[in-house]
Amino acid sequence: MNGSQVIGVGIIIGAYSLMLFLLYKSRRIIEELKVMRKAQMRRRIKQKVNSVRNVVIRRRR
Amino acid sequence: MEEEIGLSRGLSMWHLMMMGMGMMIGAGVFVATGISIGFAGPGGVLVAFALNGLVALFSAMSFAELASALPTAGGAYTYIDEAFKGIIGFISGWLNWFALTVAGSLYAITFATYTVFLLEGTKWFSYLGIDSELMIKVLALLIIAVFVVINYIGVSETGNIENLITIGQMSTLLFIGVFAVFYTIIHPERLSHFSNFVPNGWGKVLAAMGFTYVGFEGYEVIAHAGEEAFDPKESIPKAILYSVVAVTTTYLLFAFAAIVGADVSPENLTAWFASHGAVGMGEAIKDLMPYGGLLITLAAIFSSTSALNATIYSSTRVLFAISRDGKLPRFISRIHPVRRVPHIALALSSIVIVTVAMALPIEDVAASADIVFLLIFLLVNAAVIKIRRERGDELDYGFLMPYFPAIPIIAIALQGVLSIWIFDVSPTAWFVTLGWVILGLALSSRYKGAREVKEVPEREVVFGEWLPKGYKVLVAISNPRNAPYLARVGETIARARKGELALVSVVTVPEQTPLEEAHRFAGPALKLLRKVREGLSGEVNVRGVVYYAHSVYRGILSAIKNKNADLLVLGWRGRSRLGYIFGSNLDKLVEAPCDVLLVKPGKGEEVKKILFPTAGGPHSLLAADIARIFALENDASVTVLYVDRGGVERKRIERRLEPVMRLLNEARGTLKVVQTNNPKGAILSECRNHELVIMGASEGSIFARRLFGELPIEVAKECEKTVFLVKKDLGRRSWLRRWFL
Repeated sequence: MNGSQVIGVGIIIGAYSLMLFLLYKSRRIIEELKVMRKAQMRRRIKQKVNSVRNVVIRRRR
Repeated sequence: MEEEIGLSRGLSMWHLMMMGMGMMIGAGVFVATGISIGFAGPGGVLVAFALNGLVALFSAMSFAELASALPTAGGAYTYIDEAFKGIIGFISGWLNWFALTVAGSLYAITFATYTVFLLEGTKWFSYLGIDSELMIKVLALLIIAVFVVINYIGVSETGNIENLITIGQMSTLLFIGVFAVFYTIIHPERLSHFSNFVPNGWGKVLAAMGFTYVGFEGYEVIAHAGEEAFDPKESIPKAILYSVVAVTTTYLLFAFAAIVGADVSPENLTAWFASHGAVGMGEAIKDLMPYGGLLITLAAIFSSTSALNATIYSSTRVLFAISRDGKLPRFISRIHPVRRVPHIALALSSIVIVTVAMALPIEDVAASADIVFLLIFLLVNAAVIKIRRERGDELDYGFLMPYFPAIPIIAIALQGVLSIWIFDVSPTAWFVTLGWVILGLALSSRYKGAREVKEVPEREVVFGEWLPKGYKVLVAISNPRNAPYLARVGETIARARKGELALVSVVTVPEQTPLEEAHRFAGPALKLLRKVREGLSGEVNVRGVVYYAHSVYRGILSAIKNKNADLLVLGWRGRSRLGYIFGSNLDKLVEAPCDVLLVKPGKGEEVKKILFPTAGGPHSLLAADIARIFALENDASVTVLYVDRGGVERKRIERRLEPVMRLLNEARGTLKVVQTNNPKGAILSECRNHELVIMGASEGSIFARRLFGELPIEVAKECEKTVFLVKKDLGRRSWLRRWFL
């Protein structure tokens, strides 16, 4: 292999590996944000249920 | 009664990926690869593709981040306008429109070039002595005319065909690539084609990167679809990123195949590709494998036609959006009252596509598209930085790119360098682009005072809320003639199951028209919903829902998923459309992820006798329950008909149908066994004595018994009485059964 070939193959493998690494990293971020969104949604539902329950209890009193 | 209006969300991640990849492999690769090998050499092209994949992924991350935060907005123009407003926003839209139209010209010329390449091998073509260059221009003009007409007519039911074309393109290119890898293992001497790796220096690799960049754009169409995607915060970023990686892998393999395939000495390889120009790819693959030339030509023709269609409607949409935002004369955003298409924007886009295709050689057309796309993506990378800095706290992101802001800054620098480097390949392309920018600036100063248009809300709840629990019957209505009957059928089932009824009407606009504009056409649907509601008893909670979608199928699927429907009621006229079992929408809807009741209304007779032909199976129990509901409702009797073809003992039949008979006990169900070899004739003959026929989908294997099964469909077609076809949702099992059992 001559110098150009070594550099070229290095660039191809490097660029492709970096692509796969960024894809892996991005996937993890998407999953993490999804978990956070779900947790936030659950918190909101809980808050809403609690507020409705409090109103009902107050009215009954 | 509650009435709600909403946009439909009918696209899954798979659909989005297909859209993105379909646009990316839009013929650019077939033309640009051969030309690029001709000046950058074999190694230079592979390096250019790998680096372009990386640069495209950097920009794709910016698109993914913006699309996940602003899923209802569409495309590059909207993001840049959101970030910079004013003149930069306008120029980005203006360039985006130009980029799409120029890409359209490139696809039309690619189609024509490869068609001529195919025809040149025939005797009659050489006998006629037609000039190839002239033929290319004529064919390009013809194909543009065909797709302009298709877009004007407003054909929107092309989703599945486009998906098939994309799968065909990807698998053809991958097949050629994998074949080349095995070929090289058997003939390692072909690796000597890489001995002159970058014959004209590394500077030409940069030029090749810029020149082939058009093959790495197209994923932004996924961002356009933000308003129609399921769970857009997750599916859009994933679809964008996966598409870029999948397409880069395919291109690398494909370019490798062309290089090892060319039957030429290593020293002359670069010159050989340079001499063949746009069809160099085709010639090389022709040498690589038997029928390779034909395979690649067909792939190029299919890719270019599907991409041409997509670019025509995308460019129309972008021009429409600029005009609607008040940045160009308002008459451009007029929508045709019958076709529902922005016809003036379509006409203007078509004029630019034709002019560029006729006036410039293919190299300059490709280079122009590259320059404009690079500039737009550069601006999107700048927009992602500005938007995250200024509005990051208030936006709800589904994806945040890692290593921010390093990645968008590197992308901006690389895209700037690449766009300038294209001057090396085509100075004409730069002059054309500069001329276009100057024209845009002149126009923008003229319409400076134009008012911003008030944005139409994309999701509008008129009144009411959904109850989270209970059995939900969803009735899809569109035809005023059968809508009242379908609604009554749905109401009867909902009442019997103590559930609620949703009446759904879908208002469609073609792909060229943004969904927000669909509300203009909602009038008849709203009128129909109100009229249908008046005919109901009011004993069941009823909602009227209007969905806006690009196809009826997507609209109803979206309603099913959003509202967790248990049963979908659909109407059918009893006739098949050519190439379909029921119709283009019905064929897909009967596969919906819920139970399905297909109603073919007959003569309006009072129901006193119900015929229930059955042979058991999972769909029969649901059908029996619906028969029981209608028998009790109408005080009718039910005849359970079993057609015996093999002389089975009555006791065995009774044992088999025992669950069905138990369900029908309270509905005066009686079993009738008929021995015959002609089940269709027997059922049709029994139909005459009954007013309503209810049949479950038959179990069986692929092809012969698709959807509901051959026999129930044949009976439903020929029976003059009202027919209900019932299909239970068996989830994944249903799909597996149909394909493998």
